[in-house]
Amino acid sequence: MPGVAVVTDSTADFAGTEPAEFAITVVPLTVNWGKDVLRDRIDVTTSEFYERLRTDREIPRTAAPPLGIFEEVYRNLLEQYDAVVSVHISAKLSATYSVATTAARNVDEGRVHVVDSATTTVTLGWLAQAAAELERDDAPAEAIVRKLRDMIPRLRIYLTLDTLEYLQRGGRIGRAEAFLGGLLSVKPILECHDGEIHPVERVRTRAAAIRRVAEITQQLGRKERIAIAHSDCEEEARAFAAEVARRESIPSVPIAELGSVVGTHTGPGVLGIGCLLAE
Amino acid sequence: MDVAPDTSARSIELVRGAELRASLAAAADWLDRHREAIDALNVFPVPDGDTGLNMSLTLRAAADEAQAADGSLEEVAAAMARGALMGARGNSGVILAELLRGIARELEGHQAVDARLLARALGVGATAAYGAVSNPVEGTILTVARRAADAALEAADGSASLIETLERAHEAARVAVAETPEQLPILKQAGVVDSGGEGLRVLLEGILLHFKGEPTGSGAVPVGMRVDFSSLHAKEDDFYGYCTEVLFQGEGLKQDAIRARLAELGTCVLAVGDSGLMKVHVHTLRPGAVLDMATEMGEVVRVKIDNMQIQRQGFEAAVAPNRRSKPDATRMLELGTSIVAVALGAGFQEIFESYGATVVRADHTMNPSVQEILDAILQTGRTDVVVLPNDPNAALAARQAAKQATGRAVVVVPTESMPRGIAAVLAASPEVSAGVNATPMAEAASRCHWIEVARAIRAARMGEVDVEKGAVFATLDGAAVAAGQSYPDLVEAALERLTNTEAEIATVFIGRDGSRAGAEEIARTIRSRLGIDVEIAVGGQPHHDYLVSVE
Repeated sequence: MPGVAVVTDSTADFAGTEPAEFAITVVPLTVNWGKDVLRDRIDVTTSEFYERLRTDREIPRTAAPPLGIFEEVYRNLLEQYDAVVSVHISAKLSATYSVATTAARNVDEGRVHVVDSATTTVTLGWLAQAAAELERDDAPAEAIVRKLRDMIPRLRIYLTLDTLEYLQRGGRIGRAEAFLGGLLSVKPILECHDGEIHPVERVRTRAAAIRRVAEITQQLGRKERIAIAHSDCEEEARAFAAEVARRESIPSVPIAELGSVVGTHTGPGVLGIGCLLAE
Repeated sequence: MDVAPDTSARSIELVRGAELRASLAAAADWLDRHREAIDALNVFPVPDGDTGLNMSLTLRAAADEAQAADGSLEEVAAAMARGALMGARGNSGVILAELLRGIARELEGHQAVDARLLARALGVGATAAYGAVSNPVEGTILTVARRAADAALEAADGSASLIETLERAHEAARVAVAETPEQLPILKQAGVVDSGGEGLRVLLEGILLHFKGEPTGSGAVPVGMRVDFSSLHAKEDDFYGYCTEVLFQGEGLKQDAIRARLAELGTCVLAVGDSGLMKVHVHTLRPGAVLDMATEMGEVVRVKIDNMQIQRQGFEAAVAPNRRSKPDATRMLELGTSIVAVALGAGFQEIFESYGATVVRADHTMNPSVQEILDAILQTGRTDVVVLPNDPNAALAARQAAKQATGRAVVVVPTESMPRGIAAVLAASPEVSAGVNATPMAEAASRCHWIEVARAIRAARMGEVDVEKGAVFATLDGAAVAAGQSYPDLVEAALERLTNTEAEIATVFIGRDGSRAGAEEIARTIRSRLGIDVEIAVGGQPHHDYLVSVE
C-alpha cells in the first residue's frame, strides 16, 4: 500500500530542483488582475508577470486557492495514498492554510495533515522536499509532520526590496508597517520568521542593503541549507549568490525566482536569502 | 566686572536657608544679564554659542526650585540641586548641575554655612563637576571650579570671613578664566576665553554682589570678549565600542606612527613599548581594524577586547533603581526599542518623525534640557529607548536624562550631528533591545560624514583655516576645512578630504536661509566628483545654509 502524498502551494520555490522530481503536488494560488484570473505558475510565467507588473496600471490582487480545488486534490490523492501531508504558506500571510484545513476537515481529517510552515518561498520548498524525502524512506505521516515542526523554527528569510510600493499597496506588511516610509529614500531589510514579516533595519542604498543581508546571514552561524530568491533581477542574484557562497565558504548557492503571487506583494527587485539553521 | 574688596560689606558670617535662596536668585539675575556676553564666546564664527543661555536656564531652574523650598539650609540646598538637575541644558548646564549637587551634598546636616563649610562645599562641587564628564579637559569650567575651590580652602584655613572667602574664590576664578586660552589652543586661535568658565565666574560674582548688598539689577551686559567650547568638555564616545588592548611584536615599530593610526580608529589612545614590542590601547568601534594593524606590522602576542557598552549597561542596571523616578502611567510598553532624537530645524524634525523617532525640538541651538529629553523618553511606547543627542553639546543632558528614566532601558548613542543621527535611526531595529541596537547604530553613524557650510559673521581662525567676515566656510565632521566665496567649491574642498571612503549616497539638507537652487548646484558638484546618487531634502536648520551628508 503506497504511503504518504505531499502537497504544497505555488508560493513554494524550489531552488535548484523541481517539485516533479519528488512527486510533490503543487496547488496554485491565483492572481486576479482586471478581468483575468491567473493561476500562479500555470497561466502566467514569471517573466510575463513582471513585465506586466511594470506596465499595467491596474493593481493585481492575490487569492488563496478555492476550497473546491483543495478538496478535489485531497480526494484524488487519498484514492492512491494512505495519507496526505499538506504544508503551506504562513497563515499570517495568506488564507491558504485556513482553506486547506477546512478542506481536510471536509474530506478526511484523520488522513490529511495540514501544516502551517510559518514561511514561504524557498524555505517552504525545503519543507515540501524534506517531507517527500522522508516519504521515500517510508516514514509515516505523523513522523513527517514531527520532522517539519522541528525544522520550522530554524527557518529564516532575510530580504531587501527595491521599492516599497507593492508591499504597501498589498497590505502584507504586518509589523513592518510603521517601519517603512519616511522622507528620505531608503531600502528596508526585512526578516520573515514566526510566520510574519519583521523589520530589521534600513539603509540608504541598494548596494549597502544587499551587503547587509549577506552580513546578517553570515552572522547567523552554521546552516544546513541556504538559497537565494529574487524577483526579476537575475544578474544581481547571481552576483549575490557568489558573494554569499564566498562568505559561507561553500561552492555555490542555488537561486530561485519568486512566483507571481509573492511577486505581487514585493514587486520586482527583491533579493532575499533563505536559511535552515543547524540544530 | 572686577570686584574690589568692599569695606561696607554686610557682616554676614553665616548663610542659612533664606540667604541661600536669595543669593541664588540674585546670581541667576546676574548670570542672565551676562548671557549674551557669554554666548558670544564661541570658537566658531556663527551665532550658535549657547553656553550663557544654557547656564542661565540651569541656574534659574535651581533658583526657582529653591524659592519654593522650605526654610532650612539643607532643604533649600537639596531643592537647588534638584532644580538644576532637572533644568540642566547643554554640557555646561549639566556640569553646573553636578557642581551644585556636590555642594548640596556637603551642606547636608548643616544649619548654616560658614567660611570653612563654604570652601569645603566648593571643593566637593568641583570634584562632582569633574565626575560629570568622562574625559575632563583642563582650560574649561572644570579648571575654574577647582581653582576657585582651592583658593576658598586656603582663605578659610587662614581664618578669612565668609565674604573674604567668596572674594578670594571669585578672584581665583577670574584668573583661571583669563588663563584658559593658554590651556586650550582652540580658544587661543579664536581669541576668546572659555565660556563655561566665564559663566561660573559670573555666578560667583553674582553671589558675592548679593552678600555685599550690591544690586545685581537687570539689563544685558554688552558683549565683550568672545567664545565657547563646551563641546570639548567631554568625549562622549568614551563609553562606546570596545576597549581594545593588543600586545604585538615586530621589527622597527614606530610609536608615533602607531599612535597616529590608532587615533584614526578611536579615543583614549595609548601606545607603549619599543621597536620590537608594543602594547596599544584604544577605545574603538572597530577592534578588528586594530588587530589588522598589529598583524600588518608584526605578530600579535596577546589581545584583550571588552565591550564597554555592555559593561556600562550592567553598571547602569545596578544603579538605576536608586534614581529619582517619575511614575510612568500604567501604560503597557511594547518590547523593543524606541528612539528619541534631538533635532533643530523643522525639516530635520519631520525627517526624524517620519522614521518613528520621538523628537526633542531644539529651537535656536542644540540645548535641550534634561527634563525635555526625559519627557520624550517617557513618551515613547517601548521598553527600551535609544537617545540620539545629535550634537556634542546635547550629549551630557541626554546622558543625565537616561540615568533618570527609571523603568526603561535607555542607551545614549552619542551622535555628533543630525545626519549621523539619521544614519543611526535607519540602522535601528525596533524589535530588539537598546543594548543590541547601540553598536550597529553607532557604527552606521560613524560611517556617515557630514559637511556644514555657513557664512561667517566675523573674522576668525579655525584650525588651519582663516575666515574673513562675510566669507563662507565649510567644516567636515565638525572641523573647519576651507573658507572661500562659493558653497559648491567649499563642498568640493571638503570632499577632497574624504579619502579612503567608499561613498554610496549623499544628501543635501537645505537650511533655513538656503535655497533649492543652491542645493542643486551643490548636488551637481557632488555627482560630478563622486559619481553617486544625491538626494535633496529640506532641513530647515538655522546658522548653516546647507548641510551635506555622505554615507
